Amino acid sequence: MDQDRTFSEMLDLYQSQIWSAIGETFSMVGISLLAAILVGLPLGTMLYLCKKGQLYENTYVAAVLNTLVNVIRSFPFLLLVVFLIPFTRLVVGTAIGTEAASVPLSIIAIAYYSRLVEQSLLDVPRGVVESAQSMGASKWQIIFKFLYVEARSGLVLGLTTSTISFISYSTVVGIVGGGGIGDFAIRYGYQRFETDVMVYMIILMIILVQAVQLIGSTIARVLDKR
Amino acid sequence: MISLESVSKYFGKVGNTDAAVQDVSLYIERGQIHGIIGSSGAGKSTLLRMMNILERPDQGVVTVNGKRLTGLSDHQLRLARQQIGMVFQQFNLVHNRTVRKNIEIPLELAGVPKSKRQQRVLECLELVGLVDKANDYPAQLSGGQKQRVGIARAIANHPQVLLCDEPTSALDPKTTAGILDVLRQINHQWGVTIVIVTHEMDVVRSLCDTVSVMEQGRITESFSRAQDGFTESPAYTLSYREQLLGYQEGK
Repeated sequence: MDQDRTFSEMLDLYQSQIWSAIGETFSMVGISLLAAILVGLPLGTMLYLCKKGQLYENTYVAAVLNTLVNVIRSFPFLLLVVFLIPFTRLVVGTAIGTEAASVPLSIIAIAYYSRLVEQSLLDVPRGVVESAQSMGASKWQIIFKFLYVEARSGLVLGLTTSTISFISYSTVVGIVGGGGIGDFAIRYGYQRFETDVMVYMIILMIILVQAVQLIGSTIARVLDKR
Repeated sequence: MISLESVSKYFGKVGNTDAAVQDVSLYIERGQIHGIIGSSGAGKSTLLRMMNILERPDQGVVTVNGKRLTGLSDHQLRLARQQIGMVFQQFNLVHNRTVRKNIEIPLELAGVPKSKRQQRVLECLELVGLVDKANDYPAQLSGGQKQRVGIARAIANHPQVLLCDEPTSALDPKTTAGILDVLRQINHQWGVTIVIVTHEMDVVRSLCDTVSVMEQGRITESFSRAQDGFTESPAYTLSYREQLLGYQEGK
């Protein structure tokens, strides 16, 4: 390949592909984030509440959920993507493409974030829950008016850490044609020896991760009055 | 107002001999300030926490304000608890809510409309002397101020009973005196029945009308303040009764 070109020549050449790669990454990470919030948050809350000594103590449910989350997280992500192909086909009708790649990403996102939710909730002092009970709060009120309020900065930081992991995971889904920044870097930068493309994409990833971390940390700091 | 009929709470198996609370009966009259005193591990906190079923007794009957708490459904118990305030040693405030918002919580839970909540919060803030701190977060307050917020929160929904679990044990003596003044005022002004668990003799001496002494899960004695109040006695080798009512030779 022509490696004597300048950076701007490379950008001109690949501009549209780079933009669509960025779009694919945002779409995959966005869907994973949504899954993490909509399913991972309740699941993590259940993990916490079903623990021994907590509001919905239920050792059976706790053991099942715990094992499920552990099993999902045990898979090397690449294998999870392949393993889930039949399930993906069932859900979105195809096993190939950005939409299909979002399925395994969402599954790992749910498992990953639920653990961080559980940890954040465990950090809420036991006395806060007790005071809520003494005031006659219902279980829903304890969750929404006490637990989530006290754990909110931890929940945001957990989501930040998760998002960065999702960005990293999303680079692997090239194997099912998911696309995205990472996939573009591998296909063009690595496999076609266009080092400048690879460097450029890595810089993009660094900027993206820095931005996510900065936003997440700032929100968490503002929310934390403890 | 509060009646416990042979309540017991066991650690582990029912019938276990080293129970936290063993076969305790106690009656506290409306408008009284009742102290429960004893050394660490005597079961006094467990006893207090059975008065709003934070600890469910393994045996016995708990009746507060005419309601038999030990026989209520979850929903009824929640409603009953809204009429029983509780103050904790470690304050247990919601740190991500302002002082005002903390005091508002029990009113929110009871479904009090917003306009009425504001007014009640202000009344409570005035009582505990923290009107100027209404918009601060708990982390910005001293220990004594945090406990004042804890008390304001506990009485916000007009409870008839206030349970205090070592409310001054994390505070220095001067701050303690201020907190006790607030409790006394709540009792005098609104007629709230107060039960206070403590290991500090001075708290009982300055605040309580009646006292129960707990040892090893049992109430070993109960007595009332003498006509001229409790006596001063620094001698900790004396029994609690002797410390509070005076040492009488040959008794």
